[in-house]
Amino acid sequence: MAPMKGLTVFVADLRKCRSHEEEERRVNKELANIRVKFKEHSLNSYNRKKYVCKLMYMSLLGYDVNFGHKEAVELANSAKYSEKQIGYLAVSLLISEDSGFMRSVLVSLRRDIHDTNEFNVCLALCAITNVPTREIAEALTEDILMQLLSPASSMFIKKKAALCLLRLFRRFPEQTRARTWAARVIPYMGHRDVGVTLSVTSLATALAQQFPEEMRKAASFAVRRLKSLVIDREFSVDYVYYKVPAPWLQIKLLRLLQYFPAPSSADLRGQLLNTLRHIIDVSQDVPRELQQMNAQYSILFEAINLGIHLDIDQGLMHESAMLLGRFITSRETNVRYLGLETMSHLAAYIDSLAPLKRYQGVIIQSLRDRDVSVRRRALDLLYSMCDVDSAKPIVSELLRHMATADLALREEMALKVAILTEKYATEYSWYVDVMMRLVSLAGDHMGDEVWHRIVQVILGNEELQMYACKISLQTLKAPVCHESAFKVSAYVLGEFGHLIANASDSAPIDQLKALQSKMSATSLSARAVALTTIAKFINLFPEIKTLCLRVLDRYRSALDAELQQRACEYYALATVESQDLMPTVFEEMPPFPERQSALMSRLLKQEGNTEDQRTWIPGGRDINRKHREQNSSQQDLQEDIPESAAATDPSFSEVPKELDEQAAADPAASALTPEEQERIAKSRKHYARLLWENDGILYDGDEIQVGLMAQYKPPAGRIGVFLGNKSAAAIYEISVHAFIKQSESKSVDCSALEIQLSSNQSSLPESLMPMAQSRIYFDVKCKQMYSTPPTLRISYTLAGAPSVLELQLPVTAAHFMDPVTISVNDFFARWKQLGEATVGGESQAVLKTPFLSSGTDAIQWLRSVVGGMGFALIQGADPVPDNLVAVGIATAEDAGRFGCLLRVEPKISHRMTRVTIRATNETLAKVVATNIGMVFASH
Amino acid sequence: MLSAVFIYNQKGEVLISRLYRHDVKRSAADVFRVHVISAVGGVRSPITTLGSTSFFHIRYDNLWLCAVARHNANAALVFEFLYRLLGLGVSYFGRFDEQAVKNNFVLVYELLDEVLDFGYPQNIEVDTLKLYVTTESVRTQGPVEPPQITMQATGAMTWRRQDIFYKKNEAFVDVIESVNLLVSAKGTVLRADVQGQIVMRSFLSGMPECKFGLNDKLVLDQHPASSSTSKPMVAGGSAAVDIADCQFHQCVRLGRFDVDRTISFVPPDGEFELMRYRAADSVNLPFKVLPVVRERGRIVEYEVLIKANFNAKLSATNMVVTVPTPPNATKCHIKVAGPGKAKYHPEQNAMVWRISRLQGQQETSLTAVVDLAAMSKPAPWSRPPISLDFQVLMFTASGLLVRFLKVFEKSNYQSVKWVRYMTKAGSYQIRI
Repeated sequence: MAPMKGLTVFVADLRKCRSHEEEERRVNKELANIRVKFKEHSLNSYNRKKYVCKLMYMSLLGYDVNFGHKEAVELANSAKYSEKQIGYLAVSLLISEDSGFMRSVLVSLRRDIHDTNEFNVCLALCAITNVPTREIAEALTEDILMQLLSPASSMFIKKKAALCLLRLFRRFPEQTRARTWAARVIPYMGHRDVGVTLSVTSLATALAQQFPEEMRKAASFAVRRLKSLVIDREFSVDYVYYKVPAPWLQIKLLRLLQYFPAPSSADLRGQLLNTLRHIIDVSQDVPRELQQMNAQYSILFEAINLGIHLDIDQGLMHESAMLLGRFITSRETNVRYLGLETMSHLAAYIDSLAPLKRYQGVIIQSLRDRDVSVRRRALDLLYSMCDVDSAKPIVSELLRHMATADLALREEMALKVAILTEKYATEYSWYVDVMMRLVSLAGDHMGDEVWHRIVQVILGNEELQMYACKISLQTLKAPVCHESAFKVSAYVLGEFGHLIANASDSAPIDQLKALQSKMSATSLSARAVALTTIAKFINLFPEIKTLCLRVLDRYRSALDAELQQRACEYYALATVESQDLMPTVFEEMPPFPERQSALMSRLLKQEGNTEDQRTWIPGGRDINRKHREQNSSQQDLQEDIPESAAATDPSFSEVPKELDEQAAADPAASALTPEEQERIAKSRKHYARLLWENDGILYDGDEIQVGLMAQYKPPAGRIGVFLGNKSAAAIYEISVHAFIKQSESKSVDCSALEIQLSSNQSSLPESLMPMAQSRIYFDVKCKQMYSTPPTLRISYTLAGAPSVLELQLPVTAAHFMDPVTISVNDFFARWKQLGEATVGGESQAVLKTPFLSSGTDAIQWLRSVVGGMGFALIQGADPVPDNLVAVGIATAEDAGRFGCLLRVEPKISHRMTRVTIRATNETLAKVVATNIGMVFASH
Repeated sequence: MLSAVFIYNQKGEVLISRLYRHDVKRSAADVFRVHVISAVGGVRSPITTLGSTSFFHIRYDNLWLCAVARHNANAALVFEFLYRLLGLGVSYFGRFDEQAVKNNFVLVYELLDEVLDFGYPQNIEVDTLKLYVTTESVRTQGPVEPPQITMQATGAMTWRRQDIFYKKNEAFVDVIESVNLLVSAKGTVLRADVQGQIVMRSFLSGMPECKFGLNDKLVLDQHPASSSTSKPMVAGGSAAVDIADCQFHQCVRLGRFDVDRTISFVPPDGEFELMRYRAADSVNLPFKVLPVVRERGRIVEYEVLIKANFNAKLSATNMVVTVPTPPNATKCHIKVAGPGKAKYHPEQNAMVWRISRLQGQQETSLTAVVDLAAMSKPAPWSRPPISLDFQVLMFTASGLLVRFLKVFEKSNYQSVKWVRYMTKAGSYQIRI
């Protein structure tokens, strides 16, 4: 860039300013000057560049620059390189992505990308990378891809193009339509230039997280490239960094491989293992230089992570464990940190924790590390490597450490201790002891979940109750009693105080006194719990009723509204002359229904999202396996049924292509007109209605109307399709054809449903006159449970123009359902059984249901929907009258019969409905949940 | 109380750092610099609490004065102290700026040692301090009079020496008021109040006992007879003024003021601020401003009329009217009918209209057309208010008058008294 005197002087002026006000005055003056200059229209190139540069400088200093964008765009449009350069720089600095100016920049960007001068191409690519807009992503992705793939483009353009694509893909994954071209970039991972390979590998890593299927081949490229780098040592000298060949590339390749399963071919697998082993072997000797150490260690840690991920060679794992053991005792904080983190990754996958247990002492030592991040990782690792044998020492160690741990760590520690204790408890006494100690130690640092959970567990295990009572009383009698411990104790005594009432020292009167002695020093919420306990005492021990009433009476005039209300209500209850009122109200609490522990969900919630997806989470083997399955099933759902998203989120607005032929014909038409949107909404509505009614309209367009009439006799059914001509002219060449969409990943679905034209019927007429109707029947047979509904393709010619209409047929696995009536007790028995069983599945969704505002009408409608879906309602099963409980049995010819239990809990006040489905088949549960979601969403 | 006092120059370099207690370290100075002086966008609050340490600061000239407290100190007291410290500096060095501090390091530290003890404010009276904290080196010639200093520093009347003698006994009283005004775009008055200050310069011999009378509404209502005799002199407002929030110099006997609202005192020698007050009722606005601002696409039209609303014999001087322009203004075509000249100042985003003299009841007006540049993102103009700056002599916006100043002294000498009134603009703003 040629020096510009005016600019230099201006910058010097600003730097000389001694105060902010002075600087602001100078900037205002300059802005006014530039405004005048820009208005004169007679600027030469030098001045225009100079002023745009000044504007950029001011904008960088944080001043609002609200003009000059036009000039920047003009510069970008110029043919001269120097103007173009400043123009693009200004565009990327001054203009925001949503500005209207970006559209005019688009034109020059397109021109420059195809320019023969590669400097211009680079400028354009850089500008796109800095301000990617939706339009650019839509319009230019292809062109940028061409620059990457074209053999004519030079190396540095390829690099820039790959990075530009990466940015566009991360920012607008939909608009770039990356699925279509993902596979085409893979070969460039084998490019001889390391720079190109590096950029393409970054791109491939991002793509592989989204489209593992398309990017499958990348794995073999990565393995080969790694081998050539590490073993064959094929690289140019320029890329050696402190004796390590191309460390960044190696790390990227290793990380990319972590997104794929282990290679299936033995050859590749061998190469990969050799490479990994080589990396680990090389790292045995500790380099002296810091930079070399950094490079070597980062490669090593990625290699170990990959080794753990592949999970194929136990020898490698053990060797890694040994190495890691050495690292966690290293003097370098960073190395300790990485060692601990990788070790918890290892703990999450390794079969036997034995090699890790050797280091237990060291890891516990790390809890006292100077660095807080190291302490955190040590905690994660301890949590991950805990099993039945090591639970006791680890938990006691953590508890011992709790008192001295820093506050930030205590909450997480408390949660983890609580989870481990519950998971690995073998003796009841141990569990109660540990938990009581935990709440006493760390009560201030944890949420209510922990003590709630303790109460739940105690209520659920009868053998625990007696012991828990004893401990509770002891806790209350101790000189100091933590608030949470007080709450647990109060609750437990209130429920099971009678179990220990006969022992000495724990007579009812002692219990009450212990409670009272601590009550005055606790917070309001704890006192509220205590009041309930006292009310329960009145029921349990009539002999101390007067004493209890005295306490309640005192609180009847408490200042706090909650306490006062409780006291008044309990007092009134206790003084009513009725034999069975108290025992009924204060009956022993039933055990809580088993749900996922609130502790677990709290812990998982704490994990934040980072840029790259994590391939593992801290925790043992089980939870990681679950995590993986969950991930893959999520992907399946996304691929197979776009509607599944609608089930969980009714406001989901992605356009299913099957429902709209225009969107299918012209995928580029992204901006839908309001009419089109309305029609899509309408066809969704039609589809949803047919999910619970057998007859109705499926599609209502301008030219053609499609009606449906279905009869089911599980596992078979007969579907009548009615075609009506709504246009003014005759329709010719009609063909109707139903099939199941081939999805790449799941081949099961194709054979799960048989759908064919019924044999004994007249074929469709040659033409359909205006206002005429014709019909055709299909026979369907359900072989297995499936998740993708079949597609109906209707092609016809109207006024010489051929049209194709693709519609999703509302024939889901849930349609092959028969109502069954069973007794209420049976229902609950099965419900519970299915909740615990490993086969089958549960689907639960909380849906927004604004229609509930209509009250009883809505409930009536809900009943008819559930009935229409083939369920039998069970009357009086649920204590809440609005809740619906229903049973159905779905039948598939090959797979057999599957029971499906449904529970719908509408909450009128919140306009929300919780739907829980438990079925003996997981797919069935999901399909029913999807269907109900769609029906609710479109009501 | 205060744990430390720091003085910084404009760049945030520590000039003076005086710690009074051990609960703060010297590094607290850096904390304040990082978080307040060099903070991006500036800090507007004069009190910044970082952790459990509070920093109270004021800015004067190119200095930052900062007091540090770890406890819950009385903020009003701290600021009073800081301003007193400022006054001390001004009276010792003439100007209190970076150069003055640099030239007098020793003296500044000496003063800081004197005025605060373990963080508690001590005697901060200029006259007293000047007795023993001297600017020049004290030469010992003959016996000094330490007993007198002790008596003065510890006596009941710390602010006055006993042996003052003037040939001509004079007292000057200046009433200085600043008017704050905010008028909405529709012309309704949103806020109008006056902050007044009575500054006295006394050159009186001996130990004079002064009595001071204002046309205070409460006093006049108590003695209806006396109110009828006094006539309003300057302001055309009501005879009695409702004075609120009176603050007095420590020489004023507050007990007597509380009983019958008489202001009686033994004045310090030389200049001092006798009292401060506030008046919010029936403010006489010195100027009427009628602005019309129309935005018409790419131009903005202004018509601003100003009328002096006081006695035709008086005049306003040094008037500056700042008429804000949109931030995207390019050119201003300005015409002034009447006194004054106006010019566009792009660095302030405003047209600045200077009127050196405006006679009472006189009018002047400005018409301007401002061209605007195109904006990339159309953003509405925030239309900041027009603000005025002025000085009017012999006029009080509150209508306050000095009714009398009586001096009683044992020797019963005659004294000459002078009274002067002045009204300045505080924040005098008219929304457009």
